[in-house]
Amino acid sequence: MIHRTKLSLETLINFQISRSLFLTSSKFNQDLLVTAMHSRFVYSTKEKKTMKVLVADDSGVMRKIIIRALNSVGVNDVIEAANGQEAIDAFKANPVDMILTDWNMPEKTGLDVVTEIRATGSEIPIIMVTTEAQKSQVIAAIQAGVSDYLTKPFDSDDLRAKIDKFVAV
Amino acid sequence: MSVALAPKSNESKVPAYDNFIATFAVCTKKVFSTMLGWDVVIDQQTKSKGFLAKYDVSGIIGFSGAVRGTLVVSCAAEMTYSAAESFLGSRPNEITDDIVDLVGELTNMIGGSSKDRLGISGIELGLPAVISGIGHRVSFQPSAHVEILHFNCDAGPFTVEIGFRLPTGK
Repeated sequence: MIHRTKLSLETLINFQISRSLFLTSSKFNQDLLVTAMHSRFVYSTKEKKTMKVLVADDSGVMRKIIIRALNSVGVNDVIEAANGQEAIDAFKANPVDMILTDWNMPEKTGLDVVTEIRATGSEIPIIMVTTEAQKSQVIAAIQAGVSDYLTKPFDSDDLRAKIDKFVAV
Repeated sequence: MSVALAPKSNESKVPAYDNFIATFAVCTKKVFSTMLGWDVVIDQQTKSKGFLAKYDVSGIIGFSGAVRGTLVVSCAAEMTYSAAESFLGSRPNEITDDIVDLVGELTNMIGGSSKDRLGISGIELGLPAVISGIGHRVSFQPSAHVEILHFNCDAGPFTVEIGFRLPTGK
């Protein structure tokens, strides 16, 4: 079950994107970011040990790294996808609770994945895992429906912090 | 030889030369520390054109736009085996597809985080490529400024080579 919760503007800013990124945006972009973030900020009542997570990345090594990090934080039920189309197909075939996707992938990009999954009406948390952290790309990702952003390099504590925002404690 | 740490820049203008190089040094340390838990140090910094790589695997990624250049990360095979063991849990004894993938990812992360830290708008990163083979040569155009950061760690040495041309012509 997924439920929404209303949070203060300050909490949204602290949770979703770095403060410096937000503060350097124009007023127009700030309003857009807040509106976009608020609409995608959802919690899941599932615990990590029962969650099914889809990991999409064209790098086999990066998928293994992410899966090891997921295992270390208590998530063991993981599906892999090596490109954007595989990710969309896997989402349609499996009841996943969260998606971690890279940005640059063959077939379809992470942005395409987010856009198509949100078009189905799904509100599951989607975390973009990427080195692309420029403001314009973050805005595009949030507008498409990304729930959060995890920039490479990251360690298991960084991943845990991102996942914990969206799962039952 | 120590390299001054570069503070993150929020300005869009091109930073000073030393700050530009130091950014790659800081980001390299962060990538290895965060992803591998390795403490890597810089033994020396040199300049060279037509550098003959001493190592076995090189990751290469280009950047264009506001700053044009190429980043090359060169590693000895043994060092990549240790990295693979840290990432994947098992140690290979030859350069596998996973090793190639791993070096490409490390290069991508160093390039991507450096680009982000530089804070210069209009820089685009290319796709990483990897060359494997003892004694391979990575050369830059004569007009490029080339800086080589010679790193060392418990798993062995590696280099981060930045060949670039700043828009000011410096």
